[in-house]
Amino acid sequence: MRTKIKRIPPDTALMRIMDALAQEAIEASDEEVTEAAADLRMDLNSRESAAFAGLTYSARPQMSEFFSVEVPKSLQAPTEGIAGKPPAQPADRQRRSKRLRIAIERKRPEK
Amino acid sequence: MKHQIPPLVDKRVLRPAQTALALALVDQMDLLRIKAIARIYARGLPQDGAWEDMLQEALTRVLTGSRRRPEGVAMVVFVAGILRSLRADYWRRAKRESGDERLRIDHQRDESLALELADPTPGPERALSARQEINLIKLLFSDDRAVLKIIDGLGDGLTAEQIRLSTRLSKTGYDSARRRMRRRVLREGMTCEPR
Repeated sequence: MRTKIKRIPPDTALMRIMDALAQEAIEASDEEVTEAAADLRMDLNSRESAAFAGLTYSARPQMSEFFSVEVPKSLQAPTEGIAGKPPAQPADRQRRSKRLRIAIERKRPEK
Repeated sequence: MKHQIPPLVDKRVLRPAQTALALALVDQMDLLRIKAIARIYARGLPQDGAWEDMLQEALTRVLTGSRRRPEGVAMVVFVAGILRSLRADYWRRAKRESGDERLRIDHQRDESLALELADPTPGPERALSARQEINLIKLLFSDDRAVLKIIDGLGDGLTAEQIRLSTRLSKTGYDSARRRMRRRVLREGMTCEPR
């Protein structure tokens, strides 16, 4: 009788390997984690250590990290064209609010 | 007058990993282990930086209580399980969205009795991606022949004893190869290098 040949799909093989590697990370002692960080010259006592990228701060670069956050107003002008100007108050409403302000000022108690 | 671009990430809002740390659900060492595991399970997924999203999503599920930790299970083990299922979810969704991976079993006489089932085998794209990922994992250990043999054995589904016998490694040699493998996994897991 011929030997039965079992073909393992690459996806299954990858999953098995990943499970085994994940198990290695689970079983790693604190000393092993510290040693691995030391190999990479990472200081685990520092909050900004690269080891914590993706954990306590984003590992993906942010736009504000590369570009100056101070931008002249002229650069922002095109967005006005896209978003449109804020709607102006109707003339009668402006007049009314002005009248209201005057009335409030008159009602203020004298010192 | 000068304008400021608002930062895209509001640093006043705590990230799930920071919250888990603050609530003492995990310690810093656990977070580093979880990061290494997330980077392992994100292998072969198409997006860049998928590991970070998976990791934060897994911790969010723990924090919101949508996944509840059974008693006696260590937090790292529990989060590793969530990460594994997030990966499986991704492939299930991708398969459903592609929609063309269905198996049809016809009935000889009655057409209405034909069955249509989801194809359990990975599609060619997924199979190719898996093969590439295995090669990339092997590349990590390219200078260590003993570890490469162990990885082949793991892929074939062999037990530790079977791998040891097939590779003709002594128990000490096998254990020390596994330790080297673990250290490399941790080292790779702590970086953010794209693969």
